[in-house]
Amino acid sequence: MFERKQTKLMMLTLLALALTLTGSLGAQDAMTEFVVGIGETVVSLDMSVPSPSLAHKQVSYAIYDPLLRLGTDGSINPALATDWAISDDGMTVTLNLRDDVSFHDGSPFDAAAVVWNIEGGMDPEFGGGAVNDFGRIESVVALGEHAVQINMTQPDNNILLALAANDSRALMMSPTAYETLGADEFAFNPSGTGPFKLESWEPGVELTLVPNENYWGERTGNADRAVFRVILDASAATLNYQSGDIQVFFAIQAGELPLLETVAGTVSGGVARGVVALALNLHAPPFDNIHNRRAVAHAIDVEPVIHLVYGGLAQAARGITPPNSAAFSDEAPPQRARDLDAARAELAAAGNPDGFSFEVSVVAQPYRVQTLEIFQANLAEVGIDLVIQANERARHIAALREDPSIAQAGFVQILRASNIPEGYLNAFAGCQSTNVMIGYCVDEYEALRLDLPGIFDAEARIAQVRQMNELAFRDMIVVPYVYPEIPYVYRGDIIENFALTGYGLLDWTNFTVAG
Amino acid sequence: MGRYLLRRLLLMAPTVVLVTFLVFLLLYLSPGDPVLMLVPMDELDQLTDAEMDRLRARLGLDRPVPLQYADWLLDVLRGDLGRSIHQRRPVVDLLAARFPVTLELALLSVFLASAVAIPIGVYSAVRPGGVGDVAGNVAALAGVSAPNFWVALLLIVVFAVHLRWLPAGGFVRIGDDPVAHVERMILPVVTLGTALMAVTMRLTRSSMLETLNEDYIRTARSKGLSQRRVILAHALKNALIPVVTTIGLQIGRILGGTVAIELIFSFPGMGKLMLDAIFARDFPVVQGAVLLITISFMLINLVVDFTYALIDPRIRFQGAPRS
Repeated sequence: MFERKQTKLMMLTLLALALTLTGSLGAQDAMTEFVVGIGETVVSLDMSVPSPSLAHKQVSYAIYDPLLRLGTDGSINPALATDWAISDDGMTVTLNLRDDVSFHDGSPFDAAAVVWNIEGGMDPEFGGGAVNDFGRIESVVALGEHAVQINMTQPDNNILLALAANDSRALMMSPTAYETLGADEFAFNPSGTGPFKLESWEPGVELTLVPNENYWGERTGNADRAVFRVILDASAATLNYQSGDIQVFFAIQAGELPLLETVAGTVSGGVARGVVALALNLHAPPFDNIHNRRAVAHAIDVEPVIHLVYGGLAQAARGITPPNSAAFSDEAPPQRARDLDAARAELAAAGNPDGFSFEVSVVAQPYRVQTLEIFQANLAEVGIDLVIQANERARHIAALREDPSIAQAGFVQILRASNIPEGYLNAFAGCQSTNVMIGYCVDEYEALRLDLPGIFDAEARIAQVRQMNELAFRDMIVVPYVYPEIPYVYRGDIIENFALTGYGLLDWTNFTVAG
Repeated sequence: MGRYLLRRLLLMAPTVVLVTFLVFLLLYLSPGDPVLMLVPMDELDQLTDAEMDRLRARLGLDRPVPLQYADWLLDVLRGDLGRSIHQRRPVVDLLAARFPVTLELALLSVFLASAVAIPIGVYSAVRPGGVGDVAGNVAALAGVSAPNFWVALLLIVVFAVHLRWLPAGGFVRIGDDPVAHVERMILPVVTLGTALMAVTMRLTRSSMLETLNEDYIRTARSKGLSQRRVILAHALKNALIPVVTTIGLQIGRILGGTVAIELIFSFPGMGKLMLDAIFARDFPVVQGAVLLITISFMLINLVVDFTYALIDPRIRFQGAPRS
């Protein structure tokens, strides 16, 4: 009798569970949410904390607004500032602010908030990535409740782009929330003026945004939830997309793309993002000799890297400045073509016709190591022995920091962090660069660099950046080899009005999700 | 019993101190500076030594290692596990968010594995060489051989991609949505349970086979007891002792983290927390997690030891008065 009762109870439990599951599966259809798969963890949403992560930029650009917004055509458009003016001498910038905006915490957005944010960005300790961008600002003052004036130490033609950045202190945080909660708490309870606000966050797992019902701008999308799910495993990410659990996947691994494209309704694309280069130590043998640098550039074969490492979603580099920069030019000198005879001639000119050996320390990520293995095989053909040191990130940093002079070469990837035309060059070149390995500082280049911020005419400015590019290429300060594209996929049958921001990130303000 | 329990609990203290001190030491000996991990790669060149020293002092990493450990231990006694260097949150909060998830995963998968594997193991032992035994052995062999991550991906392909019965991943707290919580627990629990099932089934079978050949079982049979009573009341109780030991160890192992499962199913468990903390050289988080896992592991073993007495009343603990 007792056993029969037990069996009955078990059957009823299973039935109840099955019914519950069926009911909930049906309920999922009614949701107007979309789920974005991200392959990295968002650590903090305090804009004082610098982060190179794409996911971080995606989320922060939805929560926060900048004063000015960068258009997809590179234009500067109004955002929290309605209009602006730069004085004739370039020493002051005046911005008029919207008067109908409040932060997510209810506090008003006004001139005092802008002063607080920009002054924070100028602070070396709390400025995050803005410290360099705001480097020529002397002070910022409120002109009444809804206008500010920025006073410069020197004219800076980049100031508007700096105010339109997609991360750092250019994005306006609520001073009230920040000071009430403190930096540590604010990082997990951010308050901006953006179209979405944070609903919940399980760090390393999932982050959910909901619309800001008091958003000042136009929002035509119907999504009532945007979920960012961290999926670090590439196979699991693909399966999540195939199962329909996620509808957008940004920054997927190139190798997964063909499989994802087989899912019905899928639309795929790629966003050009920056340049990848082999950085060479200009201050130590063997790369203090320009012929050795040119020998490496001639010996490497970029095509296998494009196909095997980037799945075809990259193009051979023509210099440091990539196509997503206004300073890119099709007429720029092309990457030195693979030419083994030329490589051998350069080696002979350097006085080491039989080649040499050099070491690269690299963070052990598959695409980096694969690239270097291809180069290793290429370079061996001319007698150059490339020794790859694949290290965990902490080990890699510790080794370089301990004695930077030992680093003979490195692997550098500059993704689009700013749209300043000379931004890519600044990462490597100029006497201001603290890059211990490259540190390219020559008078000819330096004169052009120092002269640049005072040129407000766009064409003249770009012409000068191109001239700097040519010098950097002539001296082969790094070996840029590809301009990668960040691949993405989304379900076109579920999401309409898919768009990207001027920075090539998702702009889901107007996403319309099929019910 | 009470004295035995007290003695075991007291013995835990030096073990915890020893384990945490060794981990503390290993973290400091391993290359990699937590301060450098706080700065994005492309800004490292701009970080001056003075700034590094200031950051190090702010994080309390500028003092001698033994002193840092002593401070940490004193804080632990006060219930303060410190703050995460990387996430800038109290370690207690991070552990409180992650540990229950892992604990639930561990208990459910062990429950599932035991519920399925013990009856099959008993059945196989009672009818060795039969169809059921052979099928059970094959299944167990497959379960042991199949890596966790592969089983996980296979289950996602079948139940999430093709049948669309269950979500492929993600985690929902039970308080937020109990049904969604159950849906998201099923595949990870089955994945972990599969491997445990195989081990438990094989162990139950071999232990039962051994027990069934004991003299007292023959005596029980000769007294005319039913087969059911002989197996359940006499053989299984004794056969379960090594099985319970293994189950205890398995729970401890899962509590230490199941990184592959957590990564595939996007689960906020201890494994991923530890992994991220180790890579980021987030010492307070690693220390806090090690402390929690060590204590849990020892408590589970204590529970296992007490379970022996429940299964077999002949077992008495050293120091416990004989009745």
